[in-house]
Amino acid sequence: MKCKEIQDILSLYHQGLLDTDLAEQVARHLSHCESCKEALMQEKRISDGLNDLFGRDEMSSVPEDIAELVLEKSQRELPVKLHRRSPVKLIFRFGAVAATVLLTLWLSFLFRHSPAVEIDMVQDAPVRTVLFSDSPVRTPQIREVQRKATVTRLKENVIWISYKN
Amino acid sequence: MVDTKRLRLGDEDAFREFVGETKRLLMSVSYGILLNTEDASDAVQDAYLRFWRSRERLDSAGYIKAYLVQILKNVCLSMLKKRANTVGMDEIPEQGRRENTSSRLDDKELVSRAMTVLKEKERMIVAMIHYENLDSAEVGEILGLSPSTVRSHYQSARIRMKNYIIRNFPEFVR
Repeated sequence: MKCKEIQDILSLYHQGLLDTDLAEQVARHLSHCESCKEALMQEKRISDGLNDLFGRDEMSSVPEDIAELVLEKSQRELPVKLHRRSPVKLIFRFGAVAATVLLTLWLSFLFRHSPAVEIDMVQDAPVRTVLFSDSPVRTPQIREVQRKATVTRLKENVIWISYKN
Repeated sequence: MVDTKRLRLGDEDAFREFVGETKRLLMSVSYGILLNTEDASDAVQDAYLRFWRSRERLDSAGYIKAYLVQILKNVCLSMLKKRANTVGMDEIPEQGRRENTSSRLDDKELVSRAMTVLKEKERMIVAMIHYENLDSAEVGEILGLSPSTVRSHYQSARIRMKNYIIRNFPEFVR
């Protein structure tokens, strides 16, 4: 094996993470290669630094009673989870929904279209030529129409008659 | 090993026992990712709390440590995201300080800085291997990876750390 290959796996070698065969090869190489020995010393320094970093006393600085702290916290949360909305609030909420629905109905009642009859393509527009063949509503007489209803000329030969039954 | 069934049923003694067994492992993983003792400790507490809340969903066939470490990883990552928007007081560089500090850094400090160039997964692996020398099979079991994947992650992490140290602190090689 070349020095470069050896140096790439020196960290694994130092941590004892290599297979036995490979570890033996590395050991044989190290016995006669000074530059790889030096590289191993560097890896050792890094490894020792890491061991210090993760093995130091501060690492056990997790509070001793961490389990108690967590249990206490989760118990404090419990009432929040089981908390129900107060009935007064619920009544208000349903009341608001009902009021909105009623208001919508009332407004639509106020602005409803009054019954109207549309007459298509009436020749020469005058109202007297209008025919209400199978109309379900009572056919108004011309005079009646003129008296009780609003007659609107939409186009030249289309009129809109709205009247009240 | 704590019985998963007892944990799932909300047995507080089983939880205490479980925390005792795992807190050092959790702290090292958390510190490995966050590189700050206080944050790491907060993250560990948060992870236990989330674990305890979701105890009813524990799968008896699964490996609980792996589940716990996964929760911790998520907690740490969200802390990192939050931290990205704020800068700690000690992270603001003082003028004329930088050149002097590099020569005074000890190996531990140097290594801690080099950890910052690693990805989260690599940091977790390095942390677990150097915490009481877990071997690649144990680390793999916790992270759901094969031992050879763990080894290759560890190897590439160490190479990057070494390169970082040599590039930024050339006196290390001398």
